[in-house]
Parts: sequence; structure tokens; C-alpha cells
Amino acid sequence: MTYSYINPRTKSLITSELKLLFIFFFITIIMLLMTYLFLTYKNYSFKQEHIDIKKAKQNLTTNLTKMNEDIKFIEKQSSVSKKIFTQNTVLKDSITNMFDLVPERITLSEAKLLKNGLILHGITPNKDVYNFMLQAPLRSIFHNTYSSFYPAQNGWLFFVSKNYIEEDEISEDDLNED
Amino acid sequence: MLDKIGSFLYHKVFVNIYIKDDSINIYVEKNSSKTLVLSDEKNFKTNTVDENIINYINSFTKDTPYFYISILDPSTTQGAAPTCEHIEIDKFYDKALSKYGCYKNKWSYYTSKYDLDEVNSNFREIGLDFIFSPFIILANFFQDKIDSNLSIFLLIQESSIALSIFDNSNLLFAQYLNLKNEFESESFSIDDDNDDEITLDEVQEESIDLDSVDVDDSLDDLDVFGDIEDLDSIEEIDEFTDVDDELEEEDIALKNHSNKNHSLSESEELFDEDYQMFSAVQGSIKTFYEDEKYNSEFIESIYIADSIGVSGDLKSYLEEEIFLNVYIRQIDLGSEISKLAQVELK
Repeated sequence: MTYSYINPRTKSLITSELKLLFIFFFITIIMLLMTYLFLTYKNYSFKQEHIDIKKAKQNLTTNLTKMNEDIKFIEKQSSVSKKIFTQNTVLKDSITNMFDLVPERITLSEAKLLKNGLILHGITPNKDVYNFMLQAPLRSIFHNTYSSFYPAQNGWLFFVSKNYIEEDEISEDDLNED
Repeated sequence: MLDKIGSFLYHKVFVNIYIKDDSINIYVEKNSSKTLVLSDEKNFKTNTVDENIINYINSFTKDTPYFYISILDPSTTQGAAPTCEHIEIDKFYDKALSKYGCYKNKWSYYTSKYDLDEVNSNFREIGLDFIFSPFIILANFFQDKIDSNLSIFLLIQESSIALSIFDNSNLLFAQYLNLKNEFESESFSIDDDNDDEITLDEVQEESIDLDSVDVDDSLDDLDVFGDIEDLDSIEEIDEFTDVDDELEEEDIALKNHSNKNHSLSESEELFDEDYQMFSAVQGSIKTFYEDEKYNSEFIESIYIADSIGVSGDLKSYLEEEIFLNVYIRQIDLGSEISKLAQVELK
């Protein structure tokens, strides 16, 4: 029935106080939701970061192992180079010593440095010069010394001197160097 | 759904307003689902919505969003017509200028759109949900009598009367009588021998064409004038003169008995009001019988819904002067408006 000249105003369950309360709750819920979303995002971000860091760590570990291997290799190379340098130094010293041993009157035409010996070819004015001035110091260095002579056209003597060190002594020296 | 939840959570408050002569009466009902929790009524000596009224209404409505403010239409240009047909309505009121409704597809009630806007504007601070026509209140109040009688039904308020004539629930005639205006026009026309209701057309029709007059005709006319002497109105005037005399005597006695002049003025006022109501009703009945628009039927009884407590004088006038059987029933307007508002919501 509508006997009234006007229609009633719409009545809403939501009063102004309730409206205010709902707005407050709505804002609170929105803020909570935003906080939740922010935390969820941050959590996801941290997880992702954690995975990335894990991966980086793994890479670094791998790199570290590789680098350690490299270091070992380089150290090995360094030791080898040192050894070679030492050997070269020794060799150089030996050659210097060897040339220091040769007197002025004797002329060398060929010198062969062996692992366990020294072979010298040269010319000497006579056997005595050779024996006193070259063979004597060679004998003090080498265990076995063999010399052979043959005459040259000018009256001098060609000589071949073969000097050897015993094998056992060489190996002991090597061990000591290592 | 939300409304159902709301009705469980909140009371429904019905604020019912009806305007009296120089005051506004507010009747408030607070209902919990179907039971009446609280009712209160207060009269405010003001003609406009002031702070007291707003505070009073807010004290009931602040706790619930489900409050309905109803008002009894105070418009002076309202009424009812015995038809709901759009074509016939124009005979009784201007549709364009009026807001109208149909009661059970039998008769219509209307009010001025301008007045409706004015009411809405006057009460905009509190807002209105329902504006009811007093004819609806009257029809609902006398539902049991309207359905089975041919009678006049009156709703008497302080400064107005809603008059309707029903014949077995069919409206024959209705008029809204504004007593303030009626009284002013009555008092103004007391010396005019009650000729104010004769229209210019009637005067022209009844005027004598001197050219066509012959002696016999003039004699016949004289006979007609002889009948005029039997008019009830003359008797009424005599009788009212008697009443006046009686009242004068009463007044003199009262004056002698005490010097309290205001009791005299009160009785005069009561007499004035009752006579004013009586003459307004009498005028309406006369219109009903005379106006060809209405199906005039002979009426023997009158039912009065009395909201102000009329004195026995009105009843005696109606019984003695118009020979009607008078039945008076007290009406609580606030409660009736509230009932109507509650029915509207169903």
C-alpha cells in the first residue's frame, strides 16, 4: 500500500558512525594487506637473494678450488723454474770454473758438458803443461779422468780429456738439491 | 537481507507529526519487531521546526537508522474525489497542480503540489518520509462503518475538518474545511443574508426579464417568495438568537458570580468554535445536495472522529438543526498516523 504522497527515504543499516567504523576497518585492512604484501614480496626477494648468494657462494667455492689448483700448479712451475734457475746457475758457475781451470797456454777447441762428466778437446804445447796445469785440477774434481794425445802439424799436441763423476755421488747430490 | 538483519539489531522509530492551530504535536513510537517498546507525545508551541523539535526527534532517532517521520498533510487545498478515473478526476481538481493517490481503486485523494513542496521545505531539517491525507486516516479509522453505511464522516482537528460522505464504502462527496478561513469568511458575511453562495450565473438565471413579465407571472413569483418564508435558515437564525440570549444570560450570571472575565471568553470561544464547525459542515452538506457533480443521497447519520474533544454543543446542533444521528468517537491522531506509516512499510 502506498497512501503517502511521498516515498520514504532509503534507510540504510550503515549509520554515519558505522560508516566511520567501516572506513577505519577498511583502512586498517588495507594497511594490513599492504604490509602482508610488502612482507611477502620482501620474503620472496630475500629468498631469491638467498638463492643468488648460494649460487654465488657455489661459484666462488668452485673458483676457489680452481684457483687453489692453479696456485698449486704455479707453485710447482715456480719450483721447477727455481730448480732450472739453480741448475743454470750451477751450470754457469761450472762453465766459469771450467774455463778458469784452463791455463793460458792451452787452447780449447771443443767442450762437452755431460750429466756425469766433461769432455774437452784442445791443443797443448806439450804433455807436461797439460798434465800439470789442467789434468791436476780436473782430477781433483772428477773421479775418473782419461786423456789421449795426438800430434799437431806445428809440433803441438791435440788432446782429448774425458772426465767422469761416479753415478752414486751424482744421485746423492740431486737428492740433496731437491 | 540487510534490512532483515537491521530490524533485528535496531528498533523502528515512528515519528508522527500533526500541526495544530498554533503548535506542532509530535507523537513518537518505538517498536521492536512487532511490539511497542516506547511511546511519547509532546506539543511544541511553535509553527516552525526549531531546535527543541530537532533535539526531541533526535533523542529518539539517534540510536537507529530505521526511523520514519510522518506528517498529516496540513495543506488547505486538499480533498478527495469519488473517482479514480483519470478522465473524471479533472471534474474535481487540477491534475497538473495536484499530487494524488487512489484508495482501493474506489476514490482518490489529492493535495496541492505547491503545498506539498512547502511542507517538505518547512520540515527539511528533519526530513519527511510520509505525508498522509486526513481522508486516508478517516477512511481507515471508520473502516467498519464506511463499509456498511450511508453517512457523513468527519475528522475534526483544531483548525480544520476533513468531511467525507460514504455510501457503502463508495465516496460520494469530500471536502477539506479550513476553519480559520471559514470563520473569517463567515464573520465577514454575517450581514450579507447568506447570499454569498449564489453565483453570478444563478443571479442572471433568476433575474427577471422585464419585457417578458406579465401580471400572472408576477403573482406566481410572489407564491414562490411565500415558500421562502419556510426556509430552515430563518428558523436557524431564530434559534441561534435564542442560544445567544441564553449565553448572554449565562454570561451575566457568571459576571455576577465572579470577576474572572477569562471564563466568559472561554465559553464564548467554545461556542464560536462549535458554531463555526457546525456552519462549515452545514455548508458542505448544502454543497453536496446542490452540486450536480455529486450523487446526492439523503443522509441520516454522521460519524465524528474527534481529535480535540469537541463539546456537546456541536452534537446538539447537528442533531437539532440538521436532524442527524450523531456518533462521536475519540481519535488519537498520532497513533493513527503511526499505524498508517507501519502499514505503509509492510
